This record gives sequence, C-alpha cells and structure tokens, in this order.
Amino acid sequence: MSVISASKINKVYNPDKVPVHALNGVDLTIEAGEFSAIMGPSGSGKSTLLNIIGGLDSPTEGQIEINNIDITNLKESDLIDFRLNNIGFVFQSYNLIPVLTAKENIEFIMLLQKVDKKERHNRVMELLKAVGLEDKADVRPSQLSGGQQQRVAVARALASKPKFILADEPTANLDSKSSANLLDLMAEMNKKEGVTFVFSTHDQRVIERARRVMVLEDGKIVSDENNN
Amino acid sequence: MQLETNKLQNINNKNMLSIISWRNVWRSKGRSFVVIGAIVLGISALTFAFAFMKSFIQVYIDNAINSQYGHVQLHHPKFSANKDVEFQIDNAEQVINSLRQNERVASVTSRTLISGMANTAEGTSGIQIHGIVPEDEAKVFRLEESVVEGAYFEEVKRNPILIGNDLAEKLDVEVKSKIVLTFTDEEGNLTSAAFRIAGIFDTNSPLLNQAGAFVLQNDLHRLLDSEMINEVVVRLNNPENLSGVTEQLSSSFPILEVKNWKELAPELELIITQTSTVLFIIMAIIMLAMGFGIVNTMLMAVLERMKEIGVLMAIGMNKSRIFTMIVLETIMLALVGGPTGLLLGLAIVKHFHHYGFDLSDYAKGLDKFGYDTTVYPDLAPQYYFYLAAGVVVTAIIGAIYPAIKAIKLKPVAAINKI
Repeated sequence: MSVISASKINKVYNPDKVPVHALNGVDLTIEAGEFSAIMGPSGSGKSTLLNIIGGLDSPTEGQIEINNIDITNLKESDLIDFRLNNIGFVFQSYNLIPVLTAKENIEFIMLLQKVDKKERHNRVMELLKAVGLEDKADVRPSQLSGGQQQRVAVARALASKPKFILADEPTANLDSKSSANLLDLMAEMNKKEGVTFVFSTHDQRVIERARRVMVLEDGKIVSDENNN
Repeated sequence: MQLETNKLQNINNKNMLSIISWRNVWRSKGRSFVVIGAIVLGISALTFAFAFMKSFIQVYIDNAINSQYGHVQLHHPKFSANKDVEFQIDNAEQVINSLRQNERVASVTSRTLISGMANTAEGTSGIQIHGIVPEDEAKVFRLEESVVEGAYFEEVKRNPILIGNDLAEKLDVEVKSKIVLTFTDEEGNLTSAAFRIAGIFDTNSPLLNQAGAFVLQNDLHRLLDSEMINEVVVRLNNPENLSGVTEQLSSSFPILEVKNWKELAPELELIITQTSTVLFIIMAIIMLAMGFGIVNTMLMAVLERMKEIGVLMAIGMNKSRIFTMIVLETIMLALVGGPTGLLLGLAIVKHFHHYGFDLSDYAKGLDKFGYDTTVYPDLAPQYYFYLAAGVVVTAIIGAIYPAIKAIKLKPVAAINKI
C-alpha cells in the first residue's frame, strides 16, 4: 500500500522573473514501511521535493496524495492539521523548541493532537527510552549534544504516530558516531514499529543503510534502486 | 464525560501555551525588563498624575463649595441678575423649615445680602455684607474654620463683624477695630452703622478675602428694619444627589430660582472637564508610548524566532495557537509590569497622601487663586482598575501586529532563515 504518491511534480521558483526549475515532472511512490533515501548533489531539488511531499510547500504543477488524500488542494489550515496527524519531520538543525525540555518537546505535539494526559505520559516515556534519553527528560535542548538533540527530534516526530517521517539531511550536523547511533535508532523504529522513513541526504552512511535509493539530478529522478 | 475529557485536554493545551509563552518572555531578560520597566514607570507615573490632579482639583472645588457656594442656593428669580436688595425670598421661614424636613438635606442657612461700603480712618472699600445666623452658617460653610485672628462672632457683644484678611490689610484694621458700614435699605435710604471686628478670616476665595464681610443677621435686620432674606443655602447629605435634589427643590419651590454649585459656578464644572480631558490625553500618550514599546519588543521577538515559529507551524501548530502564544507573551509582560506599576503608584500616592505634596516652592501665589498649596493626593479604587485594564488592552493591541506578522510566515521560508 502506498503512503505517498506524487505525480508529475513541477516546482518553479520566480516564474515571472528569472524562473528556476527546482523539480521537473517528478513521479514518486513510497510504500508503507519503506526506509528510503533521496540523494543528489546540492541544488538537485532534494529538500524541495521533501517539503512538497510534507505539505510545507506547494508544487507549481502536479499532484501529491498521502494515503489517497490529495493534499495539493487542501486549505492552509487543513494542511496544518493534516501534517500534525500524518507526517513527522526531522530537520537538519534539529529545530527543537529551546524553551521546552526534551520531554516537553516530545509531549508538545501530542498536546496539539489533544491526546489525553496518561497516554501522553506513557508515550513520552516509551519514546525517551527508545531513543536512550530517559535520564535527559527534563533537560533543555541547549544542554544536549547534537546527537542527543536529533534523537529527541526523532522521538518528537514519532510521538504523533505519523504515517511517515521525512528527514531532511538528519545526519548532516552529526559526527560519525552520533550518525551511526541515529541511523540504528531509525532503522530499529522502521523494523520494529513499521514506521516509514524518507530521507534526503548526500551522506554515504545514510545511503548505505537505506533499502531504496532514489537519485535526483536537476529536478528529475534519474535512478531508483533497491539496496537489498 | 467526553465533554469533560475535551475540556481537560483544552486546559492542558492552554497550559502548555502559557508555559511556552512565559518561558519565551524570559528568554531575553534584558529586553523584557526594559519593557516591564517602561510599563512600571508609565503606570506609576499615571497613577500619581491621576491622584494628584484629581485631588488638586477636588480640593479647589471643595473650597469653593465650603466657602462660597454650598451645594444648592435658592433666590428670588431676579436676584442673581442684579443682586438688588428688593428681590427677597418671600416666606423665607417657611422655605427654610420645609428644607430642614427634607431627608436629603443635611443643613440650611439663610443670608441677608447687601452691597455696601466699609469705611475706616485709613480707607474705604466696596464690600458684600452677609447677614448670617452663625450657628446655621457653620453647618453649611467652613467660615468658622477660616478665622485666623480673633474669633467667630465671640468677644464682641455689639455689632460684631468678620472681614477678610485682604480687606483688613487694605483698611488697616485689626481685631477689635471699629469699622463703619454704609448701605441702602429697600426704600433706597442710606444707612450707616459702626461694627467692631470680632475676627479676620482667610478663606480660599480671594473674592471673600478682599470684599466679604459677615455680620449677625439680627443686627442687619434691625438696621434695615426688615426681616428680609435674599439667599438660602443648602448642604446635602450626599453630594452625589446634586442634580436630583436640585430638580426636586425646583419643583417644590416653583417661584424661586434653585441652582446648584455647578450651575452657579460653571467654571468649576469646566475645570473638572478640562482636568479629565488633560488626564485622558496624558494617559493616551503614555499608553501609546507603551504600546509602541510593546510592538517593538514583540516584533523583535517574532523576527528573532522566525525559524522556531516555522518549525511550530511545520509540526502542526495552527495559526490561532501561534497568534495566542504571541498575545499571551505580551499579556504576561503587561501582567508583570502593570501590577508592579500600580503598586509603586499606590505607594507613591499613599506617601504623599500622608505627608502632603508641598507646591508652595513651585507655585507661589497659588492660594490667591483658591488652590491649596499642599496637595494630599488620593485616588478612588476604580481608577486603579481602569489603569490596569488600560495596560492589558494596550498590551493586547500592541501584540496584534507582531502576532499577525508571525502567522503570516510560511513554514519553509521561516525554517530556512538563518
């Protein structure tokens, strides 16, 4: 069953002045449970594609269906709710809320979903245990290392029980040990809980761990191979 | 049950927003303290300005009521125009008795008013002679308390008179000095009589001090050979009932002219209106300055956190929550600064209410215009409420623009901001 289905995606920046074609007719299907990477050089359109799949940006042309729902025509307010309940995000720079502790950062997204207190508490503890940061529950992001912050970000993305997680260059700011730990964690989540992951990356370590690798060049998918 | 659960969840949601907002306020302590400081100073200054001006004017008005006007005056309809002795109150005794039975009236005094001349060996001066009943007069006016030399109709048995200090100076007389009053009676006959000064008063009314003379009504009646009364003055139990009592007395005594102090001295009413206008303008200026300070601070806070706000939107925080978060942050700044400012203002007001604010060094001659040179500021509790509400409203208005700026951010653009 496909969770993401993108067809004929075009994205043109500055269409009236100096048009920049970021994506040129991308067709893409992601099945449930995939652990896939989109790779390509800088400027190839990886982040743009991820933003469009995640409903953070809209395509100039084309259609995106998430679980058979066409998100390209959703109103902005509906799209925010859709993202909240269907998509998890892991950003390159972690982007945790600095005034909230690790625990609160994870809990926050469930508060937005109006999950009841007991369930929130249980899930936060479960996720903190899963990312190995139970002892850092009450610590703010500024007191965590980059790797620890990114683990909290993964836990936050998982907290809302999304259909899939989009990770935009999640290891770009991490050292090799932290990168390996993070990839182990995400692979485990994928294997154990069946969470679908889609990465954009040019990190060879991520590419080696991905089961499917799509190569994007000049806004087009030029290669799509299974890594098994 | 479901409803209760939803309610609980909503409360939790709001709590989390409040927690984020509160912590955001203290992310940039220096900046927050500058805004809070501005609010504290603005509100405490406003509180004191309100208390000072209100009290300053109130004392001036009270002085005018206590020395010149009373609350309500009754005259012959033609008396006010030319103060002629022939325009008397018919059946004055009946009118006075009727007034004394009115439960809204605290006290009543009657006056026989005549214009005349005061003569001494040193000079002559035009005066307004007030024939009064001292006991009744003391219940309506504060003349007795204004006597600075001599006594209130005591120690002089025959024809005692009280005069103002300015008049005493002009005529070069002192207590126990003799003074000759000349005036015309109802039939136009010139009458003169010698009076002896029992006391010299110093009121807040320059007019009374320069040209006011008070004698016993009986003495004046004897000299005039008439029981005439030109003026009846009333003091009310509750001054708040002024308009109502004026209307009531007007219908009770249709042949008389009934006027309250606001009608007798419209300039006093004008002073109140002008003071309120000035205070309103001062408040508007301070609130406006505070509002711009808040807009500036919150705008900086939003611009500094564009990336974070973008992330919040990306992970599913809707615009109304983002808006609420920014407004809450601003209200919290106001809720720290506002009460602190009000407390500081209250402390300053209480201090000067106790010790007095002495203006004599800054405004010499203020007393010559009927003002007190020492002001004891005080402010009714509702004004503290108005000021507190003003701060919160200003904060909310000040938060709107930065909050709109925040919700207009596009997540992708905001996240990619460095």
